[in-house]
Amino acid sequence: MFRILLFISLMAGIISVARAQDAAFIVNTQSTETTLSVAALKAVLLGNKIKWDSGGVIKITVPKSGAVHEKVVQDYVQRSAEQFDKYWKKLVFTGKGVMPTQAANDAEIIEYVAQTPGAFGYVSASAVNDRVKVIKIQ
Amino acid sequence: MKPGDYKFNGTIAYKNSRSDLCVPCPLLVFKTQYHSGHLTPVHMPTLTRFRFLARALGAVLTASAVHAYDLGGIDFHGSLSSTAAYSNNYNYLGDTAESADLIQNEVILNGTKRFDNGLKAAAQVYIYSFAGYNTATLDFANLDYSVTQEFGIRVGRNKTPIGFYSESQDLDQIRTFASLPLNFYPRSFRAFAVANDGISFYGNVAAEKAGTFDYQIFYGQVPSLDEQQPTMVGEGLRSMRPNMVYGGSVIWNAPVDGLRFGYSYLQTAGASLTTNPAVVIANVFSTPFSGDIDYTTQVTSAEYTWGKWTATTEYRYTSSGINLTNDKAGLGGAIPASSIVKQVQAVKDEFYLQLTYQATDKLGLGVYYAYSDYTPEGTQATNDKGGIDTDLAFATSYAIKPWWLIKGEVHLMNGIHSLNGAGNSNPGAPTNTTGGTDDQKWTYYVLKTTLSF
Repeated sequence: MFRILLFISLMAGIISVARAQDAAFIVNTQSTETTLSVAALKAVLLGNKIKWDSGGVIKITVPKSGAVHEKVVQDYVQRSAEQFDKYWKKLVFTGKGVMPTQAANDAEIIEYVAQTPGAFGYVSASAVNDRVKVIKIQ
Repeated sequence: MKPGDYKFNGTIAYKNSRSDLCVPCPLLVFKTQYHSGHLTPVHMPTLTRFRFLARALGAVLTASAVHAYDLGGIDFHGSLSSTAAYSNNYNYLGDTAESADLIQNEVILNGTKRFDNGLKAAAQVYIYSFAGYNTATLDFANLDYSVTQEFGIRVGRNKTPIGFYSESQDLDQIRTFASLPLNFYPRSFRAFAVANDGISFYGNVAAEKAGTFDYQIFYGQVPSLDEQQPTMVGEGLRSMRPNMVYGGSVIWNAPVDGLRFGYSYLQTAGASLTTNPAVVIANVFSTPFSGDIDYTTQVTSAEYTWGKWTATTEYRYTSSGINLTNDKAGLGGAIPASSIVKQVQAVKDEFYLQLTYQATDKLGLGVYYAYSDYTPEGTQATNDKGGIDTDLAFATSYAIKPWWLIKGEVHLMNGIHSLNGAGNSNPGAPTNTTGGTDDQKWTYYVLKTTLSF
């Protein structure tokens, strides 16, 4: 029994660390936001929540492709990257949303978030630098 | 780098070779290659116009890859589609009987801007040729303010939400099939139900462990319809002035990944119409008449996506109460009870089951079965529309590029009750069809290509 519990604990720990290491959620350094709930993150990524709780429009930027993007949209909005793209096209072409800005790589996302008040994005955790602020998803 | 320049940064490689410009219009030359003798003066300018638009959009697509354009903070998107069809028997949405016809060309141009205070302005132009009818329409144009996640307001011309897909029926790029179920989302009725000028309230409400709910409530005026619009011609209507329309939709995003349920309701009261001289309803009128219609439709929907599979089913119940009068004064709202000489109750009962599979990033496959009953139990046919239509369809979609789709599908049709409303190609069907046949079983092939940015 102890071995089973140990195995489960290790697996849970590995999954948790992997999840945390894969993606970092970043905002502009002027932002007062420090955390975002999982439900709020889903609402942001699906265009249902367009304003920060502290005020101001959320300006989303997402990677065009890549493992981090696929993992984030699968984990938090339960869609593949292709389904996520189609979801947003539907919003835009029915007058219900503004397409998230798409970036080619982490550096572009960090550049955009660093220069844009209200911006929000996600990058590989290893790519984060002090030009942006990391917020916690809980 | 300014934020406004972000989408252009290092990703655009503009090409302007002649071959690039020809890419978007493979179907646009189809008709002239094989049916040049059948081109009419109506078709010709359309093709010319669409070639120009195709080339312009082709240049845009080539330049932008999958990016949108961001000009002055306005986010631009668009698409271009061409659809060809062929039937072994009947004309359906074009001259499709025993010959291929380019039945539909579409151009969509979309612009959206979100202001710093959260207000969003969006507009979309929909330019199309369909069954020989050509026009440019303002698809939607609204101001949208999201007060909270749970409550927002849209004012202007808004899309009308009926079922899961009425709002997105023109968006070829988001689905496997070239056509939504033909009788469930009748293409020829698009102009009746696609949008309304008014106000809409919407929101997304979290319900803890029960998932979330998306809702829309709308009230507005359906734009008047051109007498040359295919359905007007097909149904023998000279004028149609829809009245106010109202309703709503709610979607429950269940706490099971990929599962959602929907219900939508639409009611329009007192829409006015007058008919052409040739129209006869229930053998009562042989001259033009006027009428008003109370129209109600309800759709219940369910969709489940797991991995690469998506299963969808929808059920629709539609009823129309029609009051008819001999008063040729025509349009003017509800007919006084003293002037009503005939009342007609038309009912339609239908559903479909659909399964799609995204086999690879490029290849999608789909199948659906649709069933439409124009005379459900306990009702009577109003004219020659009584009976049942079924449609078994198979489709494949292939993405040559992320922005360039080609699709092919085949429909095994049983029933011909929808032919009249599909334009004026089959007035009086089944008696006035190619070869004089009244076969209930017929096949319909569709080929479509779409480019989008």
